[in-house]
Amino acid sequence: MQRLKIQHLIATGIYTALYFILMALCLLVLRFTIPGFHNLLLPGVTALFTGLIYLILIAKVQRFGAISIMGSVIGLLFLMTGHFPLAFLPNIVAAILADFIQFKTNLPIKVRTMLSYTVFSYGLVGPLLPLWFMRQAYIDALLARGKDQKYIHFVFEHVTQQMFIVSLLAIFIGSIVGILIAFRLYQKHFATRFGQIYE
Amino acid sequence: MNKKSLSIDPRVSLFYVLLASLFLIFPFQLSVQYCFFGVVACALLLIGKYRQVLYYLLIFVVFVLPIAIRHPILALIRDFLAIGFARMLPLFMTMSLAMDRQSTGKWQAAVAKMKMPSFLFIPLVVCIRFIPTFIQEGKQIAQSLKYRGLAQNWRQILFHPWQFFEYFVIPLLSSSEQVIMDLSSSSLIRCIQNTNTKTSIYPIRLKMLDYLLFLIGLGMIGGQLWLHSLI
Amino acid sequence: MVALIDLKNLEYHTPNQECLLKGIDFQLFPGECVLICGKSGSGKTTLLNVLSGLVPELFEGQLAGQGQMLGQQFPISDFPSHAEKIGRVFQNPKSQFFTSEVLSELAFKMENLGLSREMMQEKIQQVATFFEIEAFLAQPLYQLSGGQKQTVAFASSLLPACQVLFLDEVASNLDKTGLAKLKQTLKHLKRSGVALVLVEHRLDYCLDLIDRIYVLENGQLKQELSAAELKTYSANELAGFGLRDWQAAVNQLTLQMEKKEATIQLQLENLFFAYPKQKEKQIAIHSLTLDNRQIIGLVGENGAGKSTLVQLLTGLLKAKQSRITLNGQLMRAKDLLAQSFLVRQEVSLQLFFESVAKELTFQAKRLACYDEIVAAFGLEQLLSRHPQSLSGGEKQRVAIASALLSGKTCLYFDEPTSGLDALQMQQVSQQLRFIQQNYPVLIVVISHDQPFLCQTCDRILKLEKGRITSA
Repeated sequence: MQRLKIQHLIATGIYTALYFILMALCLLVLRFTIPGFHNLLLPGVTALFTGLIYLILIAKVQRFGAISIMGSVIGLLFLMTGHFPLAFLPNIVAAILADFIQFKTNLPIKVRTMLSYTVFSYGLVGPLLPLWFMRQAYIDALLARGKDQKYIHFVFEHVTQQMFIVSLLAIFIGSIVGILIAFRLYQKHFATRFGQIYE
Repeated sequence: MNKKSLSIDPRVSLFYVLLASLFLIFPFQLSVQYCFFGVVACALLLIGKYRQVLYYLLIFVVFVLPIAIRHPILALIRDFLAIGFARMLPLFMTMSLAMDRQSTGKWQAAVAKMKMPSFLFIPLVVCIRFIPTFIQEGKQIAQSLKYRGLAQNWRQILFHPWQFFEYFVIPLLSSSEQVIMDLSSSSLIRCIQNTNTKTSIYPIRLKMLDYLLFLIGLGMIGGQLWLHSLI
Repeated sequence: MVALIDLKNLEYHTPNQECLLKGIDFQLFPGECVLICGKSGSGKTTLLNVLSGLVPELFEGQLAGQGQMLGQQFPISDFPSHAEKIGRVFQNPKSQFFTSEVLSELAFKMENLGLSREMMQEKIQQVATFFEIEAFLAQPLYQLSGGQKQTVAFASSLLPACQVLFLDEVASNLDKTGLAKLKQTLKHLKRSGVALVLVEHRLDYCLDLIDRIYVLENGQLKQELSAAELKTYSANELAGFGLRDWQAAVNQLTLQMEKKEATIQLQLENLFFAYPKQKEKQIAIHSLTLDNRQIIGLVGENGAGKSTLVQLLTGLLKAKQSRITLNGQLMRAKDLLAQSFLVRQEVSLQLFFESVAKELTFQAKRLACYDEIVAAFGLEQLLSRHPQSLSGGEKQRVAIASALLSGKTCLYFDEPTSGLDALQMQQVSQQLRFIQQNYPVLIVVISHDQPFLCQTCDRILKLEKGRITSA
């Protein structure tokens, strides 16, 4: 972390702001199109659109630390906006892992970036964690209201489990597609100015 | 310096947010839930958020209080939603408590006092500071897109999301370039890299109200554990 | 008197071996006001960065030279103690605000230096009284107007007091009252012994304060003058230094080139508009006719309603009972939007494509004139470049050219000359004139820039609290 200078820290802050706004926009759109299930697909959809910011961050800082910090700041923002407090842990863990993959391994650059971005995006599952706990709450409460509701709870339990798997799959697909699109956008708009980093 | 209403130390509001999230994991006794609602509602009133208290009161009455509804389908819907709302209500309320808009500076001071390392603190502060700026600039971009004939209606945006992403993000990223260097220059000249102990313009002192709320919070946890052990 | 800064043979090379500064001698004494000027790209900001100690702290490269800066031998090794003694104000408040609140911003440097709260409060009170900003000490920054933000930026650079204050084109966005306040502040600082280093294109507000001038060209010191010597130079020679003519007749429209016939005519009737939550009318105009026989300038203090008026004229906002006709046809907001184009001040936010050529040709209706327009705006060499990689002046030329190529009949320009040097300002003036003379286009320019307005506009509309006071 000592090698990160003030301009890297400020750049990280600014790019995280953009990331966060994009995430909020995705949330808004999802809320209107699929209310109720918006939380499940949010990480996947976010991963689909924020790839370019990730690439620019790496291009600008080019050293270990920035990705970890971005993930941690996003986690802190989750905490401050009233999400489940342990929601920030996945962010930090995933971000540090992604940082390691990006800067401490020697895979070919494109593969490395795709992998690290996917790992990073899995950090967004934090806010979904309450659903696990909510599930238990639903089951408890429904049971308490009478055993004839048992079949509802049974169906519901399955539905929630499947939903969670869908969400995780969505993150994977969203990340891969998102980063590929981001590579193209980077080539189109930033390669000449920031350098051909991703070839 | 807001003299109209009281304010709550950010550390105490953070404590309440953490407390509220415990409601999500563990089933709390109804009495403790009522108590929590009462305390947080009073706190919100004290800091002047009257409208929000009304809104939360409505949710509380409809979804948390065990009032019977005659109509069977409505009752089912309400029961279904109630679980979600009842669990989330504490979290929303404490969120309102914590997001007292005028105290961002106090938040920063409190956070600094909690000894957050500067490599986290600086990006966090810069991020928060730039979110409104980017939103404003986004609106300007939207206007320019209208002049260009590129953003006529919502259908266009929905069918070509990446196109619009490109239109918005590229200018914002590019205009950030200069800002990053200028802000770095400005911060360096204003001695951001000094390693001595920094002071704060905001007094971070826990007041009577903060201690009171903290004790009540502890009391509620204690009460829940005691009630739980009675079962 | 001991010089605060005394440098000889200053030289600066970037890591790419590009020589940005060479053979520069610079001196600064307490209570002095020194101007650094030159055409765009001559190295003024780079020199400022060196003097601020930001090279090599922030900007990499090799520095060479002899002398001292604020007691330290050059090149300095102890940046923190150098930073303590200086202050710097940037052109754009956005670039220098670190926090989101006025109070935090003012206290920022003092907090970093570890001053006690009592001392900080005392100093803030003094400065707040001087700048008359006590009223919004507790407010968040986003609620302030542009001029208020610049005042806060200025105030925060003086807390705590510094020995040298660097000012980088700070007058660009100020209106008349802002400029007067700025002049007053600089006078006060000089008297208290603070040395001022200004980078400016315009002399109108600061010529009385300046003691010496350094003229840079291509990174080298072209000339060092005293203020008295500068006053003897003609407008053309000043333009060669990148400086605007300070003697320009302020109230007269010097060049009037009216067209004989009006091909585009915009008529307004009963334009009354208030924002939803406000009772007072933001705009109240009974009737107004604009046509393209003249280039029209729109002036007024900050907050008078200029941007609101333009938004109404271009169809972004709707005024219910108003009647707007273009060449006799009644226009609804949507129609106005289809016919209008606004080139805004922050040019980066309106360039969307990956090449200048694409930017110019996208949905362009005047493609037949493409080559002519590209030549007129000097864009041939830039066609394959990415618009965001261009310099400020180049970006603006692209924006104006794309506005023209769009085929729209009403073009509006918001502060097109802020931050431009004399030559660039003349170029913009010529470009607008070119458009007016050769194409059926209505041109309205919002500006604070008096010399530019006098040179370019044939008719000035003054807006005061939403009402037209002179036509």
